[in-house]
Amino acid sequence: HKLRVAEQTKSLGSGISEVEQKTILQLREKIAGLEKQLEMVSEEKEILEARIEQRNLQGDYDPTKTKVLHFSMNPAAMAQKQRQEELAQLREENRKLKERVKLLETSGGVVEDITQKVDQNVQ
Amino acid sequence: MAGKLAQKSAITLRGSTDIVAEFFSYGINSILYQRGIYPPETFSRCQKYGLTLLVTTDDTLKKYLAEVLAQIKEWLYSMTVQKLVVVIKSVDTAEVLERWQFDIECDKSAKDPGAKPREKSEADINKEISAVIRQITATVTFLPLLETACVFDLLVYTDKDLDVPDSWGESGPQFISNSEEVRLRSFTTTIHKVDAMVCYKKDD
Repeated sequence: HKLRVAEQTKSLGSGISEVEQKTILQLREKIAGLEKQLEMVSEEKEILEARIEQRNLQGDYDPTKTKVLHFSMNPAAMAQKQRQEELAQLREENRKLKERVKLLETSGGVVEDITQKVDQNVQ
Repeated sequence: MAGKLAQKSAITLRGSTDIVAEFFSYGINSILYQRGIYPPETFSRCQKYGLTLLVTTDDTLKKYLAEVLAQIKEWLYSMTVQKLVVVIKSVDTAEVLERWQFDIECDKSAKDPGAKPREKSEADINKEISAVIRQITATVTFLPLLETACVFDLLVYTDKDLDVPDSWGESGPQFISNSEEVRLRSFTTTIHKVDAMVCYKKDD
């Protein structure tokens, strides 16, 4: 019985430089590939850096590190509250005015106790 | 602003805090005036940074700004504040139309007990601040007109674990959906660095 080395290497015999020739070719290809990669990766990096810049300008943040606070009684909130209150207040006021007008038209313009009466009626 | 000028050009943490907070005060006032958030007649002139700046005389607004800036000063001192944002919204639709954002970079090493004071003259800092304010003014000239009545809010980005004072609450970041962004100038006291930028709704 013979213990033989794998057939494919057998034929390489003493052809040592075949290994290195092949390795040189691979190294050259590798260098070309690395240079191409460098180019692509640099481009990607620039695109991403521009994107992060834009996010930043838009006010983006990482909620695991940052939170956004504001003073509760701020102008925007106040303005909104005000509108709601104005709306409610106007509705109320208008109801009272309409009642007042009705009473005035009924009672011939006599004003004493009208406010009182309006309030009662409006209840 | 006593401690700031112990040595004409030595900047302390307290001093830097004052400088930045003061800038915010004048900056916010400028924006409110230029964007017409408050009627022009409610502003009065004053000299600062070698410029003629407008500040509000409206008591409610003054009171609000004072409260907010006092708090911001504390946060500048503890270096827990990251950004200050002036959001401008339509009163009716609550839609955000503009965001004036100020990123704050703190040099934490200035908090160390043995930290050497930084060297930078007040004049130089003022020159930088002046440039920022003038750029804000120039920027306004090409921003879209704010057609509707607007109102504003001040947002503060802080470290997540900060204790929230009682009179404050969490707010969304209030992004603008279809925006243009412009990066403006910055200034630094060597302890705090402030970058300015504006983000506005596209005019289409």
